[in-house]
Amino acid sequence: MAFGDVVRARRTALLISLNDMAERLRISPGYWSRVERGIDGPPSDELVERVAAILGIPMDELFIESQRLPPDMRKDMGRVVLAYRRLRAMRLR
Amino acid sequence: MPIVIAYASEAALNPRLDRAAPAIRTVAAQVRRQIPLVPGEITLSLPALVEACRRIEVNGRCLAVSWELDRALSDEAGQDVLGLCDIDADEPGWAYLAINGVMTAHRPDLALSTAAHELGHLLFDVPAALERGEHGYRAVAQSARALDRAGRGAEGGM
Repeated sequence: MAFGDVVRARRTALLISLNDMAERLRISPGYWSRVERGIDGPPSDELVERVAAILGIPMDELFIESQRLPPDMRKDMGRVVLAYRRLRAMRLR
Repeated sequence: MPIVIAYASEAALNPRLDRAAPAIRTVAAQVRRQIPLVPGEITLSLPALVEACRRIEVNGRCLAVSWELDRALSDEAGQDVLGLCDIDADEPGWAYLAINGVMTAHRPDLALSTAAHELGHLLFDVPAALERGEHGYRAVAQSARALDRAGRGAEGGM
């Protein structure tokens, strides 16, 4: 599922309205509707983190759905790449 | 208090009909009559338009309108757009009208005409789409020139 689908599914399951969600995020409901429908791309890191906290979704999961690394991993890109390559090599043995 | 608009729906369902243009002018007049002007002023302001049009009843269909005037807007291709009109199939009775705050930052005339343009979509195209059984409607105004050009070919519809 894409970022917006995951968020919308969880938000509606928690019975949080679009307006309520937008208010909690301090953004317009129109913008958030478009993010959830995938018309606008996944939001800023800060918003992703706040959405994760509001909806109880692991932050890493939301960043994966956003198709980008979490901020802490981006800051440590070299080690992330090396760790990934080593893990792949181990799995291929 | 919502503004209440009524017109023969076939004018919107068939916009190429000759009677569509008079219907559009009639609707514009209905909107202007219901927006209070600042005493002593004869021109409409964007804040007055937005405030008056937060709740709209068009041909018996009620819509709560979420306006956004400040941020940059883009279409799905990432291209800047001047304005947009959008409804969400999962939010019945709700509509979103937005003006690109960056592109209209020093152009109050452009902001107002874009807002009126997108309101026009809401009053005509959204009810027509819903009447056709469609669950969503989206349109963007690509540029200031698009507001002047007649016809849907001037804009991006999604």
